[in-house]
Amino acid sequence: MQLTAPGLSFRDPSGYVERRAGRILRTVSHAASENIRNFLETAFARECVADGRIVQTLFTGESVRPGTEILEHERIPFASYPYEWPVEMLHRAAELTLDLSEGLLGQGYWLKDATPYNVLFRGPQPVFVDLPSFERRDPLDSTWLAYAQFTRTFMLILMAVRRLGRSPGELLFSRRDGAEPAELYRWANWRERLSPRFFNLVTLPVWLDGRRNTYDGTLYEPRRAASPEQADYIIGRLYSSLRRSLRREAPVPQDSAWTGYLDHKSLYSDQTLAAKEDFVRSALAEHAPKAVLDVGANEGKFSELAARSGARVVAIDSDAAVAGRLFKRAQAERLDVLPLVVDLARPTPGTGWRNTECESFLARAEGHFDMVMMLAVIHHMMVTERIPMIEVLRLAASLTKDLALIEFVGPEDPMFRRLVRGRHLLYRDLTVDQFQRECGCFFNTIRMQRLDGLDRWLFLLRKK
Amino acid sequence: MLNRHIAGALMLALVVLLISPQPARAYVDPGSGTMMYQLAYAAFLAGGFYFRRLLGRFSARRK
Repeated sequence: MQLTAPGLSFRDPSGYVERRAGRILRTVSHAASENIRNFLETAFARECVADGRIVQTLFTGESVRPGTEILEHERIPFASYPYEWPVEMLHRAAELTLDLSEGLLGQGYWLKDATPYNVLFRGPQPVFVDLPSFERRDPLDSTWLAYAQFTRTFMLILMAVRRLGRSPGELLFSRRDGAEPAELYRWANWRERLSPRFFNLVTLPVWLDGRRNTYDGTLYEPRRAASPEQADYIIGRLYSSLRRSLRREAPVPQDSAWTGYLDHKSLYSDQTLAAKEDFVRSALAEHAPKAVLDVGANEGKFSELAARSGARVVAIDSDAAVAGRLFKRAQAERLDVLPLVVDLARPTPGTGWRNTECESFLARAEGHFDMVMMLAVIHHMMVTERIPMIEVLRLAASLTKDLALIEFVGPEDPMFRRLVRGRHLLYRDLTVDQFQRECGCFFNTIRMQRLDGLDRWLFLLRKK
Repeated sequence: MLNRHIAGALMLALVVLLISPQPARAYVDPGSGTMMYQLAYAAFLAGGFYFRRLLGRFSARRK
């Protein structure tokens, strides 16, 4: 299929996805469109679309050229990529991929590819968005071609994180198609290589690599079972074995310098924390923002307030451990919060083909939110990252369409002094008055409040 | 006794064969090992399928 410009997804030759006037449109060949239509008519697909596991899709009847059809997908509120997910989200995406695979078994379909890029998150709920991945299966075929991809992009990453202490973001950022068994083999010691967990998915495949000539492609030819029942049995047991491996690699909650921060590591007394909560709660109640970005969300105390007030929240933090905890809580309490591991001082760049295949975080976020919350975070950006305050405010103004809720932390604050590490002269002119002056370039102040006994002020601001 | 020696030698030969390094080649397919593992596992499961079916017939006859 001829592609006029790189879209959001174009690696499958049967079509491509692009965003046009806020709509998510997938152009596919007639054959692919027919396959998708037939699949969506199955009882299993209807159930998955109804409960949100598969993206909603409309057949528009339009086409850009003969032999094609345009499908319109529901818009997932905020796109995120696997390298921005805490490992708990990667695990959940793997579970969804296996849930669907198991459900498809009795329907005569399977997934022709199994990668985390097929999944987006609506709040904490994963949604499978790549409809051309659902492919009719030859009832006698007993080899799941996507098995190796599932292993590379899910299982080996989860194992590298849990067993070898690797970061999922770093692994997935630099590897579109996951990790190779040979990489984990190199990173592991002999005891790990021979452990039952590693042996089947890492060690044995590495030992077998290159032992068979694959130039003629015969290795990847379908292997036909003697009967459809036998083929279903083999594929079903393969899924079950992956399910067991996935269960073993379930992420363990990690501790970090930022976990439990508001409970026992912060400066706030119960009264000041209650005052801060009241300020945030009343701002949310008064203005009812629909989309909120919580920058430096930590474990999501204020994201939760925003979600409970009816907002869709994207909660970013550079610490994967707190983002993972927030994800589990959002999932358990059905909060509309999407936690992402993003450092706003070094936000995710555009990646993939021409750096446009996966948009940068800022390209997705700018102008998307009705309110940006930066609570107890700008001093980290100013001191640790050395970003001038006016630049932090300029960025806040570009992210929000309307409101900003910012906590100014002054140089007398003990946490500020700890971050400064002796370079306090750099910040001698920094005062709340200067903050207000610089805010005036982009915002009008709706109201402000000092937190009792602290060199901290809360500002509710409206974009000019 | 002789059989045990032969089986041991074959096992050792298999392990040596598996862990001996393969020469690096251009276009080497890093996924081939995973595919070969899947094929071997599928062959094992195919055997298991027949075994379960036999077992099913046997227990049905006993009832």
